[in-house]
Amino acid sequence: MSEIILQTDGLTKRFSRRILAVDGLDLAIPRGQVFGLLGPNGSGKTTTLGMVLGVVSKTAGQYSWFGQGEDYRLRKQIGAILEQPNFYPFLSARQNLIVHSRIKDIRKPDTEGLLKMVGLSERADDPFRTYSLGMKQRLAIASAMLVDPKVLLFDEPTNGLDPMGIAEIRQLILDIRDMGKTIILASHLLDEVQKVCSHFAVLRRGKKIYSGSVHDALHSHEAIGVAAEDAQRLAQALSSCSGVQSFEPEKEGFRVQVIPSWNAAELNTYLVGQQVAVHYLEHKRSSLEEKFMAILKESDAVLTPGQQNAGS
Amino acid sequence: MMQIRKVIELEYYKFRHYRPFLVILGLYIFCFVLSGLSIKYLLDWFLEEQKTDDILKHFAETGLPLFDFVDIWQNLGWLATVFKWIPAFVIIISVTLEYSQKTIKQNIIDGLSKKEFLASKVALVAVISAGSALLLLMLGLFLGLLYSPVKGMSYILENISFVAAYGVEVFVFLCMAMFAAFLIRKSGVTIILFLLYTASIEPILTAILRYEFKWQVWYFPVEAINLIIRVPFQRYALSFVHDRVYGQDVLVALGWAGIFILLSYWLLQRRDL
Repeated sequence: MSEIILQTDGLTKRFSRRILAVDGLDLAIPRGQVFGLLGPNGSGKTTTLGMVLGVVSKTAGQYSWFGQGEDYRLRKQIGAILEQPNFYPFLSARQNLIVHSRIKDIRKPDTEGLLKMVGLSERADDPFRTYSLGMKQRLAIASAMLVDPKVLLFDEPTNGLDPMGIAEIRQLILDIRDMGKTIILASHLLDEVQKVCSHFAVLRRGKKIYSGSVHDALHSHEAIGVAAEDAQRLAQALSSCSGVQSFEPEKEGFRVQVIPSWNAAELNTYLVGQQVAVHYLEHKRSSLEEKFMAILKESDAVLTPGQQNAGS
Repeated sequence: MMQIRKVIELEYYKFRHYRPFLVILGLYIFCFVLSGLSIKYLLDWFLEEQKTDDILKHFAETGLPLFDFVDIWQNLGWLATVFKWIPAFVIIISVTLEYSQKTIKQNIIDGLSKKEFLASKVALVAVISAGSALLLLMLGLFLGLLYSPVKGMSYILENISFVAAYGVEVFVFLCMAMFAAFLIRKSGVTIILFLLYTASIEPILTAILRYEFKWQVWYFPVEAINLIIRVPFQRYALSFVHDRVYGQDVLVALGWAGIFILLSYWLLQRRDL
């Protein structure tokens, strides 16, 4: 088993009697993963990150960085940005990085290299308050990379950016991933998690309702679209087929879920054997969005109204 | 083990380029020095106007011995206390800015402990207090050597403890400002409430308690701070005057400094950022 970067056991935050933001969260993120913390707004993502970063006090449970506990000094090895990038507005990018490196006890920070990496070299001496949101976010990433961190945490890193800014930040995160860093990314954007992450967990009302690898999640939800002139006969054939897990009607024909050993070819062969002439057959690549919706639907069925809590 | 050097450096890197900060501190030094240099002329003019007054006419001829060594430290120290509000605003801004820009949150995320964050603010308070005492020392030496009829080393050093007392007074006052800033977290509101309390609410309250209800009021914070350097000027009209620094006054004030620092720490620990 590889080194565990972050582990939480029963981590809980109760803001008030009514508001339970995070409810007994168990996570274990091994080294090298790009871990997505996925959930709708108010599901407890930021509160969770706040607790493991020492800015939000926890109500119960515990967390451990690098298997060494909760000591604040361990945070010096973490590069993290929570919500908006927070810097001294009157200091330049370079001066802000110096403040950060003093906090992290780095004597000789490679500010030039980092500013170059995030494309801020030209504006490095202008005050932070003159930067666009995209530039602020890029500076935040540079400061997160200051220590050559073991792990990076991003909380909604592309929030509020224009499409160009979003693409730039994503590319930066991918570059950092390719350096072999562990990354924890909180996001409500499924597409973002799908493009960047290797593993993910879904939070809802402070509870973890799903966790696994992105690859498995996508694979398990792949489907085949099929249609024939004689829809009734097709439906009969599908319902008596051993390779079909489930199917449901769509706009055009049926959406079919097959067993893992099957794919579109096997389904077609079977239908030909049943003398059903198919005029449409498509292997549908699913998106995380569909899986996410399915997960949420399942969790809705499980959660009784009495257990529902609002998060923030 | 907390590194004092680290927390001082941290404040230095944060604020060395912050113009409002430098302007206010510059203003403090300017007011301090200017008033020190101009006070003799003001007094001479004042006494000139009061030539007919029975008590004061005596001084019109000799001049007030305001800058004579031994007395000069208490006189200047007491006069300088009006300026302590200026560095108090610097402290309030330095703390509330960390909240408004959420940089305190980022500091903690980056691996600073809340204790270290508080220590960095206390370090700023201590440095400004020490600087204030130094300023008083230099101004006193300059004016004393210029105007004092006696200039022997033993005269200069006697009662020089008022310089240190001034440093303590500023330190406790700034600790109070720091606590107010940690408590309220908004710069405008903090400055207004701090001004109101220190310059009006407590002085009025203690005056009423003292004269109407015969209470002891030395334990109120602003009163305790003001007691460190007692009013020196009765010496020119009355025979009796408190002309030295009393250990218990300093201890009471330092007690308040400790309380303000501990309360700030408690607030920091208790609240989420």
